[in-house]
Amino acid sequence: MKKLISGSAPFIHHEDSTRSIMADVIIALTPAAVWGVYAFGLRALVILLMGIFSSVLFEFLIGLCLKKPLICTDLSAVVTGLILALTMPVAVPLYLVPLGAFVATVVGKGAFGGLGRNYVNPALLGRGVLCLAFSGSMTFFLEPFTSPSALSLTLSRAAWVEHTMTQSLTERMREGVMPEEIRYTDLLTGSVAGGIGEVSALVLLAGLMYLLVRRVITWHTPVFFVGTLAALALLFPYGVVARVDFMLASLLTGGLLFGAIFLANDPVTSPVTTGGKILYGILCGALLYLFRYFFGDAFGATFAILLANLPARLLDRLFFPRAYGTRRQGLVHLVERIRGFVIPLWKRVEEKLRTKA
Amino acid sequence: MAMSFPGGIRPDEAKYSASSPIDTMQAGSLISIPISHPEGGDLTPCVKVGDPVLVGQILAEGEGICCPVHSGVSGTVRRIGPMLTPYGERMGIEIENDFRLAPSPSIQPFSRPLHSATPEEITDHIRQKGITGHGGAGYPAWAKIASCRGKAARLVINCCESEPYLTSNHRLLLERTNQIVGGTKILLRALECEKAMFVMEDNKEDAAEALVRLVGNSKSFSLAVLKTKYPQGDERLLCRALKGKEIPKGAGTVDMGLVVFNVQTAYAVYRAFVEGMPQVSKVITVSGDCVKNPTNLSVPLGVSLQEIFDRCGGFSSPPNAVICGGPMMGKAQETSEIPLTAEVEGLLALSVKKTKESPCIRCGRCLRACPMHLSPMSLYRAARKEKKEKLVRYHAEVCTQCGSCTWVCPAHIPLAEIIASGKALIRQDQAE
Repeated sequence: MKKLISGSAPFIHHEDSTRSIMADVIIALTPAAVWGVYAFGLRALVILLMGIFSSVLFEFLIGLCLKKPLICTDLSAVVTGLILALTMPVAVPLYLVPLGAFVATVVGKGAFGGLGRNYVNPALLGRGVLCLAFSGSMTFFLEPFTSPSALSLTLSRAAWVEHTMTQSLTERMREGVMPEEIRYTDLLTGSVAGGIGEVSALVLLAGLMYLLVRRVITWHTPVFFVGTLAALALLFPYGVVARVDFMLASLLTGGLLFGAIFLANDPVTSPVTTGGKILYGILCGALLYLFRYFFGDAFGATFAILLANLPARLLDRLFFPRAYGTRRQGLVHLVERIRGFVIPLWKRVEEKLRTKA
Repeated sequence: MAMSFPGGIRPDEAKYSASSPIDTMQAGSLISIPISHPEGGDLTPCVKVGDPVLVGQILAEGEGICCPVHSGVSGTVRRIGPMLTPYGERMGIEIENDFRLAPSPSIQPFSRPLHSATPEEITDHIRQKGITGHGGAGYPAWAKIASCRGKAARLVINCCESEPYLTSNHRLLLERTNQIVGGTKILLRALECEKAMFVMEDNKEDAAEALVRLVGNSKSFSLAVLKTKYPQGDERLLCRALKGKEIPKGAGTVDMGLVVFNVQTAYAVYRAFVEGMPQVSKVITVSGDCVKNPTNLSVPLGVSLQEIFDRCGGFSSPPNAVICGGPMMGKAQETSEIPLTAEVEGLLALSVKKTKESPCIRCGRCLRACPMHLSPMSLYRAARKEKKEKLVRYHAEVCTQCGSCTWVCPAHIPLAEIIASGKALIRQDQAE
């Protein structure tokens, strides 16, 4: 008989692993990636490959520095790179892709301590920095099916001016223009100003279905994110058009769906408890609508989710599970801790006032 | 509609032996019976080395809540001393089998009909026949009966077997239905209780039907079929599934009006009364991916695990884990040359894959799996950093070590083990 192990129970395990979950996310992203390449041509493929490759490379280099060169084999760097690339507009200068990957992998993940320790979504951080520093390049959106050149480092805006989409649907609606040519089938299958993967709502929804069936994410965050946005769009529209039209346009434009399905649900930076996820979804939706309302369409999803990432762990504290046989403690604890902080402070203030008097 | 509790997991049931009828095994040339006292220390042997013993003869006794330990074979006492058991080194008695199975005169049916015996007499008889709980803890049955007498409205016979591979309760219920019902009636009288309920999961439909055929019309017996989920057999979760209410911290099932006994205990009680047979054997499941013929086997206590494996055709491939109990909560043994004891519910030979731990990605699956609604993620971090205050605040002591969190964790973090060390840390602190 072989040498017997002496570990602790349990001795069986669910078949999933971190790598299989990452693989599931990649599979869910594949329809969007394929459609993006179909819609935008080879340049999209180049961007996707560059994103994945640079992301994995940076993670490998970090691994070398930490003497753990195999950390890039858990596929999380592939996911980061793929997501980052899918949010890029196809006309983006190619050198911005590895730059974004650098910020995402080295700053967004590595600097915090690696997988599981970051507080904001790494791909979003990469994208956020690029948006702030290169806002012009990041808003250079081309119409689909125009085949920009695959390997030129940058594309001249002047040369592509007639295919540039300068205003999104909702922005046109803000000005009261009800575009006659809106066919929702177009929006569903792509004629939207957006990143490579953000074009077609249908392929994104297919990805969502896959993630839900495989239990990689739960339905709460996407539903409440999209639902809150839809409700706000119905109640406080900034487009001077029919409310329902405006709401539908809001849902289908501006990378909302991509954000709600793939960006907001990053397990490391989103809440773990159901109540937390619901609040987080509502927060994302509300922030996004606020940004769009006052600042228009650009980058709303990116910064809304980044901001919502910050209180995510706090939201979990509020909804901390009630242990079997005990009474609910979450809110009580929060109140206790606030009291524990405020009361000594108040005592000190009182002392000071008394000694002064 | 099947009732259940929130949370829990559904591992692959692997009930390979579900359709194998219970087979009986005879003891080999040697049996080893541990004689440890449940409250600590050892029982006092009643025999010396070289003494002849008969089947059913008392080998050791003690004071307090313990009950006597009996021999399952006839033969000669070979050694009294320390021996290795599934739960560590214990004092024990080794008996050399003479293969004659000569019965002791104490193996007599109970002298009076059930309705004329008092609860105290019944309880004393259960004590004398050495019956301990078969649900894994091995607590003396008579002590549980005495402390719960008159206090519970309903006796629950726990036939749940939510651990993968294990099927002995299922087969027992199917093949010895009469005896189990008889044992339940005896327990009802001993507990001064009117109603009994048989609880099982919905993967034992045939056993449920057998029970219904027997006692379906009775007012004092009822049946509850629960959803097949792990760990349904835990008393606290049974209460949650049956009553919809949780047992408050510090209380027991009795405070909720239920007293729970394992179905094998009911069977042993029946044999103790109708045959006068003390607890000298047990029905276990022998299974696992490395066992040639997964079987349900009635095994004399004290037989070595290796002999049991050999009786089932040996190994189909070399295992790297021999487990007493189920794969979720059982104990891995370093050798198979140890005796079977009454707390062991199953014997598994598995080929366990070695996995490496990776960082927690905060996926939240452990929270959803935990049947006690704890946050294993927070508990394991607090335990690793030895933050005792956090462990207490997050209710580490409510954890039942069911292992659902480790099973589900995609990063292969040994959550249950780390939380167990956290619990030990708090207990150490409280002891000081």
